[in-house]
Amino acid sequence: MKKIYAFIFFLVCVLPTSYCPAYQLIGTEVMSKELVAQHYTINSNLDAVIVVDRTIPTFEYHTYYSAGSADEEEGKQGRVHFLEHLISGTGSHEYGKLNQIVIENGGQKSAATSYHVTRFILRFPKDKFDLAVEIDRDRYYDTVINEEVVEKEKKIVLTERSRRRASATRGSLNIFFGLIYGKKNFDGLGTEAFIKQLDPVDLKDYYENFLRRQKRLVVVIGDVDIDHVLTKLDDAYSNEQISGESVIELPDPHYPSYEVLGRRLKRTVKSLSLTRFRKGWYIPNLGHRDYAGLLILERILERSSNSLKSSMVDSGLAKSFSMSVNSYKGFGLISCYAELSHDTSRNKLHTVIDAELEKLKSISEAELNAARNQQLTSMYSAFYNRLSMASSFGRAFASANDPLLYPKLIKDIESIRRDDIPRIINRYLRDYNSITHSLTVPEKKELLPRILSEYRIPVLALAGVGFLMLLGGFIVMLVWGGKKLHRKFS
Amino acid sequence: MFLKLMVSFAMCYAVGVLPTYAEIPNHHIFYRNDNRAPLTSIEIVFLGAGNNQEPPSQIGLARTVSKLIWELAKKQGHLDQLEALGTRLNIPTSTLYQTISIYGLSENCGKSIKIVRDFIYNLEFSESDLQDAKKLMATDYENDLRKNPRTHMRNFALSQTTGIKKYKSLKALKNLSFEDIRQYCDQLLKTDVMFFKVISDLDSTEVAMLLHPITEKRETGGFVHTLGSPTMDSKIGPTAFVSDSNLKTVGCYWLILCGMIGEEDYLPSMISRALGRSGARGLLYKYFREELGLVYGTGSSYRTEEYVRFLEISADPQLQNSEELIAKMSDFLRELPDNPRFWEAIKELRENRNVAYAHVHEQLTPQRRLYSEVYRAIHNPPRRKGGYSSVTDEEVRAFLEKFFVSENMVMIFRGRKDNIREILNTHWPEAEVHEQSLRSVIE
Repeated sequence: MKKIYAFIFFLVCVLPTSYCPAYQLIGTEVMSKELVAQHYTINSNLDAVIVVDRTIPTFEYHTYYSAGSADEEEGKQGRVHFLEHLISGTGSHEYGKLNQIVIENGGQKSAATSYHVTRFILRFPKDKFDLAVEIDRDRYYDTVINEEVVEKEKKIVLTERSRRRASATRGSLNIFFGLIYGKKNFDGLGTEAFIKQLDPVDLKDYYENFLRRQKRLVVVIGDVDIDHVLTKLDDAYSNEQISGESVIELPDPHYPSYEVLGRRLKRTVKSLSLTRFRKGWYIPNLGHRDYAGLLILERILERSSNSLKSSMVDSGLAKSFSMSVNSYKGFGLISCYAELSHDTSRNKLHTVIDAELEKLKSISEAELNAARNQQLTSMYSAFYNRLSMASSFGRAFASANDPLLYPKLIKDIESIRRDDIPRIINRYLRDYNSITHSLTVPEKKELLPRILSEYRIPVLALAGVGFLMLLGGFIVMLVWGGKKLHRKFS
Repeated sequence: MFLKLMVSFAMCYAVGVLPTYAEIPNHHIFYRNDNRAPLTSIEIVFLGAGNNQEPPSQIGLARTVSKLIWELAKKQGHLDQLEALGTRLNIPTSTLYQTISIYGLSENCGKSIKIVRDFIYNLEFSESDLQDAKKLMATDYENDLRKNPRTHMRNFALSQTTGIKKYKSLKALKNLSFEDIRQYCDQLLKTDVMFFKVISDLDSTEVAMLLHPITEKRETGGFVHTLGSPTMDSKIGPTAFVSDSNLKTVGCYWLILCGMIGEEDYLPSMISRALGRSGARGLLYKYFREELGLVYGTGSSYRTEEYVRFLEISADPQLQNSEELIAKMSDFLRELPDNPRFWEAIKELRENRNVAYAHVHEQLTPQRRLYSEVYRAIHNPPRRKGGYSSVTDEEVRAFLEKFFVSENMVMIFRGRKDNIREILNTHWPEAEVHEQSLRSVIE
C-alpha cells in the first residue's frame, strides 16, 4: 500500500512540474522607471523580447527575420522583398482576407524589408494577443504562394518600384550600398525584368529553404501579461518544424567590400537637381564600446553651431547636410550625406571634413557632456514610440545577434571619456578607411576651351599656319602697294 | 480691457471675421505625466500669434520671426547652452499660435527654462540679423518645396480655390520690413493668452514651479486670439492643378472640402476611416490595390488648413495605369452614396467596437491626449454622446450629397502634363485645369 501511495504522491507532485516550457530567460535590461526589457529564447531559431508598457491598452507584435535584401545573391535581389509582400499581405488566407481579419479585430499591419532584416508588424487591442500569435504562426507555416497571388502582387511591387526609383536620394543610396556590398545593381526591390519573371515554385522554394531558416525575433511591447505571452509563443513555436530539403545558405559574409576603401567615386546622370555626396567610414558593430563613442561624435559633428554641419550649411557649401551612425551585419558605418550645387568642389568638402575632425581631437569636457546629453535625449525619446523601440531591438538582433545591446548602449554612452574621441577619430575616421561617392551631372565645358584643351597641338599648328599666311598676305599687299605707288610717282 | 475689446471688435468688423475668445486662462498649464522616459517637453504657446493674423502682404511674418528667434539663439550662444544640457529648442508656427518649445532631460529642465526666459525677454536684433534670417528663410522655402512638393501644391490649390492664404511667398518675404518684425515681436511677448503644454516624468507641482519664471511679471496687451472664419466660396470646382514631372509615377490627390474648423468632426472622420486612413486599410486599399492592383499606396486623411476642413484622397499609379486609376477613382468618389461596400464599412465602424477602437487607441498616448485637449479648449467642437455609434446613415448620406460632388472637388496631379490634360479632357471635361510650375507655388 505504501508503494501505491508513494507512486500516487510521485504522480501528483512530480508529474505536473515535469512539464518544462522550452522558453528561457537570457537577459533583462531596466530601461526607465516604467520600462523593463526581457529577452527569452523560445526555441533554437526564435527569440523574444517583451516590454510591458500599459500607457495604451494595445500592443505591438513584431517579427524580425535576420535576413534582408543585402543577404541576397547578386542578380537575384528582390525575392525577400517580394516574399515580405506575400507573407504580410496574404499569409495563410485567400487574397484580401487577412486584411479583413486584422481590421475586424481592431488591428493594423504592415511590413518592411531592409538590408539585413525583414520585419512584420501587427498592432492590436490588448485582448487580441492570441490572434496575433495565430496570424504570425499561420504566416510562418502556411503562407500561400501560388500563381494567383504572385501575379497580383507583381503589379503592386512594380508600382512600388517605379515610385521608389523617382527618388534621387534613394538612387544614390543604392549605388553607395552597392559598392559596400560589392553588388553592381544593388536594389532591394530587384530589377523590373527579375520581378516580372518570378514564379511561385521558385519563390516557395526560396521561402522554405532560405527565409524561414533564418533566426527570428518576436518583439512584444504593450499592455500584455508576460506569462501569457510566453505560454502562447511556447505553444506556437516550441516544436517548430521546418520542412524542405535543400537548404539555401546565406551567402558568405563578403561584406563590407574592402576594395572600395579609400576611393572617391562618381557617377553621372543627365537630369539631377542637386549633386548627392555621401561619405562613409567603416566602424565596429553595435556592441563594441567604440560604437557609443561614435554616436557621441556624430552628435558633435551635427550640432547647430561650431560643427561640421554648420561649416557645410552656414557657409553655403552644402544645401543640406546630415550624419548617421548605423549597425549592419558584421560591421558599422558612420556616414555623412550632403546635397550640393553641381559646381561645388568636392575637394573643398573633404578639406572641411578633415579640418573639423582635426579640431575635435582636442574636444573639451563640456562639449563631450553636451553631446552625451543630446544622445541620451534622443535615445530616451524612442521609449515613447513603441514602433521605433521595437525596430531598435530588431536591428540589434539582426546585426549583432543580441537585441538587448540596444538598451545597453545607454550605459556605454555614459562611459565614454574625453580621450576616447581623438582615439576614435584616429582609428576609424581616416580617408583610407572610407568610401566616398557622388551622384552628379556630367561636366559641361565651353566649346572653345574644350577644343583648346583636347586638341591643343593641332590647334596651335593651325593657328601658326594661319598667322604665317596672314603675315605673308600682308607683306605681298605691302610690296604690291609699294610698287604701285612707286610707278605712280615715277 | 473694455477698450481692448472694442478695438478688437472694430478690427474684426473691418476684416470681416468674428472673434471667438478661447476659454483658456492666461498661463494655464496643460499637463500629462509620462514615466516611460526621464524627459520633459514644455511648449510655451502664444495664442493668437500664429499666421492667421498676417495680412496678405505680410505672408510669412510669424514664420520669419520664429526663424529670426532661432538664429539669434544660435548666434548669441543660447542654443549651445541648451544643447549642452541635452535640450532641443523648436519654434514652430501654426495658424493660431506661435510656440517656443523645449524638450530634453528632465534633470536639466529648470536650467533650460531659465535660459529661454532670459533670451526671449531680452530679444534684440538688428537689420542685418533680419536680412540674414530672410535669406535663410528663402533657402528654406526652396528646400521645403523640393522635399515636400505635395504639401505646397495642396496649400497652393486651396489658396486659389478657397481664399486661404498661401504658406509661403518669396515676394512677401522680401518686402517684410524691420518695423513689421519689431511690432510683431512686441505683440508676441505681450500676447493676451500664453499657455503651456507639458509632458514630463516630473509631477505637476514641480512643473508649475519650473514655469514660474516665465509667467512672473509678464505684461499683456499684445496679440488677441480670434478664430477667423470667412465665408467660403460655395462653387470651387471641379478644379485641377497640374504640375509637370517626368517621373514614371503619377501623384494624384482629390481634396473634398467639407466645412470649417470647429464644426463637428464625427462625420468627416468616420467617412475618412471607412475609406482607409494610413495604417488602417479600408475600402480604397481593398479596391484599388488588392482588387485592381493599380496602386502601391492609397489612403484617405481628414485634414484642416487654416480654417478649411477637407478630406484628402491619395493614390500613386504608374504612368501607364494613371488613366484607369483617375477615371475609376473619380467615379468611385462621385458614386460613393450608391456604393454598398461603403455602407457596409460605415456599419462596421458603427457596430463593431473593435474596428472603431483600432483608430481610437492611437489617440490615447499622453502626447495625443494633450493635443486633443488643447484642440478642444481652443475650438470647442460639438461632441456627441455615443461617438460613431450615434451617427446615422441619413446623416452620412446628407454629408456625401452635400460634399462628395464634382463642384466641391479640387484635384492635384503631379506627372506628365500632356498625359494628365488628355485624361482630364476625357474623364473630367467640366474641370477647370490650371497648369503651373512647382516653383510658382512659392513665388
